[in-house]
Amino acid sequence: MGKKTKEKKLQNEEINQILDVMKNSAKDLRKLIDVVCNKNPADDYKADGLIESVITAEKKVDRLKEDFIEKLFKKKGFLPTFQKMDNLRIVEKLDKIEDNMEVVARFFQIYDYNFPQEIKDSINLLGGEVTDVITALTETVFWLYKDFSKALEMTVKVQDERREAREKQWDLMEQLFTLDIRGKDMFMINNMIRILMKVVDASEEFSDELNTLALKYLFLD
Amino acid sequence: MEPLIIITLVFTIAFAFGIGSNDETMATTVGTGGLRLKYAVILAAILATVGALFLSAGVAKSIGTGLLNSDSIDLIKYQGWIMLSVLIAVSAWLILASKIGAPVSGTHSVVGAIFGVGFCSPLLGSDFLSAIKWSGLTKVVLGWILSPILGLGCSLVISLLVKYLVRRRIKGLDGMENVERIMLIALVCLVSLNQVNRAGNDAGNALGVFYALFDTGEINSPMLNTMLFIGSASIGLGLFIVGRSLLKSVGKNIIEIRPSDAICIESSVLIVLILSNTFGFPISGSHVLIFAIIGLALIKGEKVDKKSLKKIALSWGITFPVAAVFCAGILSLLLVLTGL
Repeated sequence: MGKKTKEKKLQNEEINQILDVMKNSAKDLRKLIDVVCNKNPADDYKADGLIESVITAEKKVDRLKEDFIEKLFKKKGFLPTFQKMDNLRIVEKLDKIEDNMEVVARFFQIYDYNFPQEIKDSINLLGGEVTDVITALTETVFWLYKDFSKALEMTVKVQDERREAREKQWDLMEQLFTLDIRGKDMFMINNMIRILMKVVDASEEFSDELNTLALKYLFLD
Repeated sequence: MEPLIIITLVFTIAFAFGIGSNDETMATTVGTGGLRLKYAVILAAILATVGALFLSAGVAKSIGTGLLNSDSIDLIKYQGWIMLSVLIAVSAWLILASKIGAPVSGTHSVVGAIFGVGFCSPLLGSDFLSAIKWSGLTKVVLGWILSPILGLGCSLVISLLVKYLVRRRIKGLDGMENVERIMLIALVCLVSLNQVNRAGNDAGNALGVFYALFDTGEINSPMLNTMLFIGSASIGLGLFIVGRSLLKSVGKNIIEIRPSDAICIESSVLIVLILSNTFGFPISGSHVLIFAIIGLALIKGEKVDKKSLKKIALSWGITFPVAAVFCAGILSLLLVLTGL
């Protein structure tokens, strides 16, 4: 294995895998939103496959988290308690964000709706932002293990992406309220936006914590 | 063999047990969590036994009787009883202190006990002022001053070096983990070396009694070897049976210690011990260790657990008077009972 490949991997296999699963899950979510927005009966199987993939990813992250916790506390104690606790919190927060992604997937499982043409692009854009936020977040976690300064830079990127997502959210809301659609659909689309933004907000909140952690470790001692 | 000699041998073994019980060398390793308490205790007990068995001969001491003025007290008549009282008093205090998790100085306890002998000087046909060689007490006073200064100073310098040369260069949590993993291996090696060294040094106090009895012809060579073995094993046993509360109290309660922190502390202790052996400074290993921990906490900007520190400071403060009072009481009782 070359040096460059080694650099791209974290020492902890579980965290590596969790980050990979989350990145793929975010991509699947992005594709799912795309498939749902460009609804075509022939593509239904694609949507089902992507929903299943996100749900499976959540289960996988759960298992990885359990393995990680077991290993963390079984491991010989060269890690001080605060570092163990920080590791634990990182994995728990990642799991929580993956849970939020699963909620989005499950939403599309139960709400089979053909979105009005006027808001399809905006939904797609918001979906893209959600993926970008999660990707930036996983990068932040990666750099926290490799380089605290880069992790700090990445937290700024997460905040920028989140700001973008917020802009897209309000654009979409503005368009949504000009539409003449059924109350039930209005409620469901609004709900969809809310759960998408929950992923974004949880990611931003976690990114703030990572920012504090990176600063703590940079100036520790 | 006279009953007094047999009793002295028994209490010398108890003294060795007390020394082992108050050996906190492995505390930092326990504090890092790098070695679990039970394994640290087993390793420390084995290393202490080895150190005591093979390194103590060169440092055998006459447990402080050199602090008594032989012109004023008839040491030929009373030495056995004085030695026995000192042994009982110091063993009791060391074991008691270890049980409550307080690292105290064995040497200070011995000097305190000898001071207690001074209280009994009227019973020994002398008076308090002339019974004690006062110049010898400067050793304790100097120890009180030098141990904190050297321990703290050395730890401040080493911690600063580690901070700027090692920690500030670490980039991420993975790097931090790698450094701590290497530091842990180095720490176990360093502490093992310290443990053998310190046990050998401290054992001199207890095992010196056997050499003294051998020199006066009270015990023969095979008996000396047997007693040396039993005494050394008692040091290990003391550490194994009673020492764990002390290791836990010093290692885990004062500040949170990482392997790299423990390296700073242990290297400070090692350097100060080498300096003291080279230049003859009367320092206490326990005091140096605690002040090295405080020095590290200062550099890290970490708060030390004041409750634990107060307990340790109190135990240091009362070591001298408690040993003196214990010893005076025991010696008086022995002298009255034997009608000497």
